[in-house]
Amino acid sequence: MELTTQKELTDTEVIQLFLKTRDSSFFSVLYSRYARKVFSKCVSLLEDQAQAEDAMQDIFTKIFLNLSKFSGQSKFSTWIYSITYNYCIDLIRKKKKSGVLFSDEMESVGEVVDEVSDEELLTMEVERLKVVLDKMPLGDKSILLMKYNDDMSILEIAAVLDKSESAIKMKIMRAKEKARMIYKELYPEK
Amino acid sequence: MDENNFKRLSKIEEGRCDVPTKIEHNLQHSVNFFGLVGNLIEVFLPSVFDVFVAMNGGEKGSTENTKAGKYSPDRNSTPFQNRKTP
Repeated sequence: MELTTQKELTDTEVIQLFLKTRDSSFFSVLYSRYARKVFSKCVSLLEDQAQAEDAMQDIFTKIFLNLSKFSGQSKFSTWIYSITYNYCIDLIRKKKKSGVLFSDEMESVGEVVDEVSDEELLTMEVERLKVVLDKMPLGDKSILLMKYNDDMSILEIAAVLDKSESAIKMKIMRAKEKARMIYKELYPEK
Repeated sequence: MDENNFKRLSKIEEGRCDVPTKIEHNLQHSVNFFGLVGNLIEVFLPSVFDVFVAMNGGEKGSTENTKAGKYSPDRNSTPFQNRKTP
């Protein structure tokens, strides 16, 4: 199949063709579509270029080996990002050896008095948002990225983090509150 | 898809980082290697299985024949064939 034709195919079509023909050029199409996105996520979460490179290779090998298990119920991008978050979170957990990354560490923030609106978070200036996210604990940062950057549903986030939907809703609320607190500390004029 | 500041930030970061080409090369090797292993298993595993069957006193090629239904004891009969109707 010609390269131009391959580029016009949807992700699901490319996967089906790859599984049918085992032609590695179809996998290359998927790689070229998502490599940059996955790599930048790995760099952002792991904060280490060399580790991100190793992670990237492992993640795409995982994707290749599990491609036949992709059911098509969610978007392919969501499936890939779930694998990416899962892998990076596991890696950080192993590195920290404490295993505590998403448990109840956020509960110590204290009671959330009022819920931070999405608008408040989504209207932050991009460069300031980056600073705020970099200051946040990885658990909070990941959860906000999953929701607002990757458009993952509560159910999908819950599956990645192996938590209940209500726990995820609470964690999102607390992560937003934390983002607002950091923003106010850093930029008190607003 | 709505473009919010998280997505804009993500795009900026994607633009800043270059994916090393060696990753793609390594992956290509892995994909080809796994493909080759898969093909080898597909071609040779039935033969290996036959050898084990033969070593244990079975008939060589019996797995293929059974799969194809050639020696199926019931292939010409249906479950209710011998039942006498009142």
